[in-house]
Amino acid sequence: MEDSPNADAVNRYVEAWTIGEALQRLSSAHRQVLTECFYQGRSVAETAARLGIPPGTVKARTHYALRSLRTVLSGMGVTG
Amino acid sequence: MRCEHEHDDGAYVLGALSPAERAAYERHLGTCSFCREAVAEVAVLPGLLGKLDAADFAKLLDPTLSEPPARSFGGPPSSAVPYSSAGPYSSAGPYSSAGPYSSARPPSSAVPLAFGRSADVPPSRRRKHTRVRVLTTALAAAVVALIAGIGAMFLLDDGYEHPRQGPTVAMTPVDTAVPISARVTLAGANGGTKVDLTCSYDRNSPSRKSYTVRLMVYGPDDEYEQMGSWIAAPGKEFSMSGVTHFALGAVDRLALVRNDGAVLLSYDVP
Repeated sequence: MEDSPNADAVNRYVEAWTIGEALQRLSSAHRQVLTECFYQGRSVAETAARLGIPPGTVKARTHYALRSLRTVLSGMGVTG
Repeated sequence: MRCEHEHDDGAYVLGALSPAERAAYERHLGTCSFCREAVAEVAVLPGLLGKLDAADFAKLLDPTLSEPPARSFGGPPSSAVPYSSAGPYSSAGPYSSAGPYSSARPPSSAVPLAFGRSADVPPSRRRKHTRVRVLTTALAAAVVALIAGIGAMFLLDDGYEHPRQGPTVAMTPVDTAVPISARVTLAGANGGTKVDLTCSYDRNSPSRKSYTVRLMVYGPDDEYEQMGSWIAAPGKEFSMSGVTHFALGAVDRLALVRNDGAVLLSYDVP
């Protein structure tokens, strides 16, 4: 079953689960800017307006959010 | 702050900078190794985030974007979240190492291609078409796939013609002077009959001659095929396994034939 479509589906699910789990381990502020800037596809300016925070804060949060995410994923054994 | 663009790397790799900001940042990357390293550290992460389809995940996670997301997702309470919003690197020094991706992924050229935002496509539209799957859909698909996979295994197993292995029998020498003996086992196989053969050349035989032998299998209607050939040498044992397309009940006879055509051993399948 190694290269079957089923294995692919399971792999995709495991990957998705891993990322979801990692995101949950971030602070809500970090998760929020990743959700806005990546998953919702919003710009820094749009995110800043929606969240009512300065654009510089959005940038700083994405900066630190990605570093937290990297640490969390590394702790989960994901090396990228 | 070591660089005025110090915090731009995250928004850049996420594709959240405005076109003008992005262009400026890319120009800056050409002159700032500090920021290049910063981008390299996180460049792989959007690809990983993309493993999760998340327009709907985001809703699931954070439907109003004002409530603590973990609650609606059934995750750990916020007190269990290991990192403060200040981030783990704020005091530890984020740029002490180059990170694993700095050399593999030159940021100034590769990253904008991979993760950059195209200026003319609205980001929400650009992302929507690739983010139709939701976590629950992925889960359901995986469960279905697992069940289907297990089912297929059982089906495969049921459809498989279980080996009906017969006894191991000695082939009958045509002539008492034949220095070769062989034992064969026939078993029903998927698609035909599996034949295992072990052939020995008597080391005490006065004959010291090696010769090529062939295993022939005879089926219905004078059909036959060769299953293998090898050189039989004094004192040597040879083993082979092969499958003939003849079904187990259709195999009429096996014969070990010398290269000059002389039949040395045969086995008439009962």
